[in-house]
Amino acid sequence: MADKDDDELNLPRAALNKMIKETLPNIRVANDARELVLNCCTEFIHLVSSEANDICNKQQKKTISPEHVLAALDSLGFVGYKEEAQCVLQDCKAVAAKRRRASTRLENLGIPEEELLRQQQELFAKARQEQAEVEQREWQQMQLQAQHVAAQSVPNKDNDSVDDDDDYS
Amino acid sequence: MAEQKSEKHNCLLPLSRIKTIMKSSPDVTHVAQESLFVITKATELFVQDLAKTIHKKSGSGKSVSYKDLSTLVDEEENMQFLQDIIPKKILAKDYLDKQNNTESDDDIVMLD
Repeated sequence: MADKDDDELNLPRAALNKMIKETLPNIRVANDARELVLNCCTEFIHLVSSEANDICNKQQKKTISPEHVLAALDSLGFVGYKEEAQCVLQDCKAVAAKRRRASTRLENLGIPEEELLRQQQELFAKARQEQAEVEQREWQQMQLQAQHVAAQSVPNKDNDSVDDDDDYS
Repeated sequence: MAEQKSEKHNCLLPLSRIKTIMKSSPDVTHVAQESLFVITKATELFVQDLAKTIHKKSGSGKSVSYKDLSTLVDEEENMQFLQDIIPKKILAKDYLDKQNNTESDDDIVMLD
């Protein structure tokens, strides 16, 4: 593609096309319009980043926090985005908090690592055994079924066997 | 990091690329991971919003063109930051007229 440089600093076209397709399912969008939307996204990111950066500097912080970004969206007039983005942020925080709790829970049990490892191996062995038992039962079932089927497919030979009721009188 | 992405956020846009774009802005140094998520989400919303609005404005119902975009940028206040990259197209003739009358306007793009 001729404009390789632009692409490096733009979002992937495929992702954009997918989003447009999902938003406007049966609409044809001209290629130059798509290209423009791509550039607009980059511009949007620059805009929000700069604004967030300004807010960050005013608070004399070094790292742009999500709150800075939300405030930037607000002051730039994108209030609707701010609300949805806030939900995403809450999800994010919940996931991070959960992960932290999970890791500390394990660490705080007071069980040394070797013991934990041993317990884990035990659980694995148990699971393997249970699995083997299940498979064994299934195999037996299959065998029984096969026998059953085999027995049924044999024609009614027994009915035609020697008639014991012959009259020999 | 991969787990974080797949868990709840179904981000359609790659976080790393967005981070690169952010860092190309002057003065931006450190960006918290969560901030990245927020901006990514906002950008996704931006695209959807842009698409829906220009479709509404285009009225044709079937297709969306450059003109629809440039009209939108002109009319919506919070989209005016895009004026530099989506100038309204005008005929060369009009441009030349304008040139003769006033200072040249850098925003104008010539059509053949």
